[in-house]
Amino acid sequence: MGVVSTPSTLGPASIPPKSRYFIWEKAAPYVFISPFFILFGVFGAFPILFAVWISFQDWKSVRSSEYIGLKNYARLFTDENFHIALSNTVILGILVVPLMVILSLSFANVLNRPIRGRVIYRTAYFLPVVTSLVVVGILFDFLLGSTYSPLGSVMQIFDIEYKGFLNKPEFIKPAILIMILWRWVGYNMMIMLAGLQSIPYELYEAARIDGANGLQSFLNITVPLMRRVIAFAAILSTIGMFNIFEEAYMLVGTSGGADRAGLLMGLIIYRQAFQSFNFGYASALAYANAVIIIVLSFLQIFATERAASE
Amino acid sequence: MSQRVEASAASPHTGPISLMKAISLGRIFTHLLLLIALLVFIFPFYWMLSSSLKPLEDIYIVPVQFWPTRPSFNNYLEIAGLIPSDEIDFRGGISLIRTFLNSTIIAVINTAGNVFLASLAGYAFAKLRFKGRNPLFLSMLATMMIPNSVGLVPNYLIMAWLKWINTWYPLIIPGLATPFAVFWMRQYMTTVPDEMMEAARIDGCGPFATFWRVVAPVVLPGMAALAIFSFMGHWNAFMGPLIYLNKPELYTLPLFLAVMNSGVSGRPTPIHLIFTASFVSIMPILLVFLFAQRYFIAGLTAGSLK
Repeated sequence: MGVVSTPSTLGPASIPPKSRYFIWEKAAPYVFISPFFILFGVFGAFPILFAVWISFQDWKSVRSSEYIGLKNYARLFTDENFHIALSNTVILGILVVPLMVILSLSFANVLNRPIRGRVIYRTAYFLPVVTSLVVVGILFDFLLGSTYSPLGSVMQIFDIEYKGFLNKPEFIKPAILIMILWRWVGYNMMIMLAGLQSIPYELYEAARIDGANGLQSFLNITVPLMRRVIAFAAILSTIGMFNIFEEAYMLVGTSGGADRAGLLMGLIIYRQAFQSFNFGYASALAYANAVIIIVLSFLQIFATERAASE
Repeated sequence: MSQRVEASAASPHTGPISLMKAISLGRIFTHLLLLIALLVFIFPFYWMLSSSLKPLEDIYIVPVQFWPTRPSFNNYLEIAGLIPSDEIDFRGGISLIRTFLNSTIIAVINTAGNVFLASLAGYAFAKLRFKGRNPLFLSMLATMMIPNSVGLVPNYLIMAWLKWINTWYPLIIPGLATPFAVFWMRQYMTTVPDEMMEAARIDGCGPFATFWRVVAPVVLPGMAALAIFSFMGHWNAFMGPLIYLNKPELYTLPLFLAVMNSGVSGRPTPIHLIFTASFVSIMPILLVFLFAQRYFIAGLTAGSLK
């Protein structure tokens, strides 16, 4: 064992060079990674570069295009749909991200304690995460949109007239918000739970001996120690908002619904690409979206690190 | 973790005062909130199940029936084609069984290929030394920062040039090679001790035999989590099928359900059958989830790195 204890002896040095084994061993790493890299190169990496070129073109059909420079990007400044989608996405994001963090951290905090039935709660809260977004969409389309929704019966108790929420522009964003929270809170809760389990229990014990109540130890121990995990969840939710497609598609369609209140970034990219077949402009939109996502992510990381160093 | 639980579970029983605390109003209040949240998370599933047991008239009724008054499995028989139906047939008479099979084939091929290719590449990145290892791995990770929407149009053009529109290839081939899967498998591979591989080599195993017979069995839990994660992703995938498939006989479950729900076929939406089909479509994932929760959560929360 002692002779072969370092990884470097895995190299060819210890093998008789004459054997065919030698060549195979040298080539093996490349053979192992090439099936992956050939496919990933063609369908994963190359398209990222190809999209830049596409975004400088005006596409007449799948096969013919014309170079138009930055015109597709210039169009971003005058495209009303882009402005509406961007502001809708930002408004929803401002609501979704804090609510998501607060709800998932609260659930995680309670379920991290030895509470009766916590496995059942955890499983139930996580159930929506494994469910197809199309099925979730069908359900919420009915529950929030249909006249025959059980929500109507609840409304009747309070004597509110109810004819479905999804046809009224002022209710579309709340409906999407509810659906996003329902579907993703369990997911973020699991991330928070993983983070909470790294906090030593003795800290809470010590705080309790010092007379701190539950809320105080939550604010003074949990939140500061969870800062990075919270930021991670917030960044994920932010990225998620700019990539949302199915949720909005199922509830309001690619038009974005009444007054385009549900028009989001994911919808307009899809619409430009596969309904209007403006491949060039769709790629410009997708790149603009990517830049916004990356800038927001770095801002959040930067803010977290600065807060941590203070 | 379990030690922590025991430690904290023991603490309320240290004296009569803390025992009183344990059954305090606060605790009841907490449970009440947890139960309300439980209802909110479960109710849509319950509604789907109870609606699948109702005839159409009992869904389109006010006040609503929370409990089916005349439950029957007719809807299930109807979507399975065991009793005649003129609702489920749309645009060429595609049955739910056919789309169920389509989804299964696509998801299984993808999952098997994805796990195998990612394990091979992950093994090379974790355990073999070769020129360009780190630059290749880092540039692969860097591409994960770019959202998928950037690749939509270029991939569509590539698929069009390959004449792959209206085939399953665009749904299968790109999904075989995902950076996240390689990253995931590499993490597992690094935990395998080098001594095991040395021993295998001394026993005469070549590089592939070392990977296949010695390393792969050790990282089986990692493969299982990745397989579940990957299967679920493909089973639930919607945008790919929406973009690439026009022929109803090629449809996957999510596309089939979405098309039915949109009423594109010209008929009013047969919501009782859609709820039934929806419930059938989520059953496989739900069952796997309930029995293999640990792998699910491991795969999904690490999947957040994507």
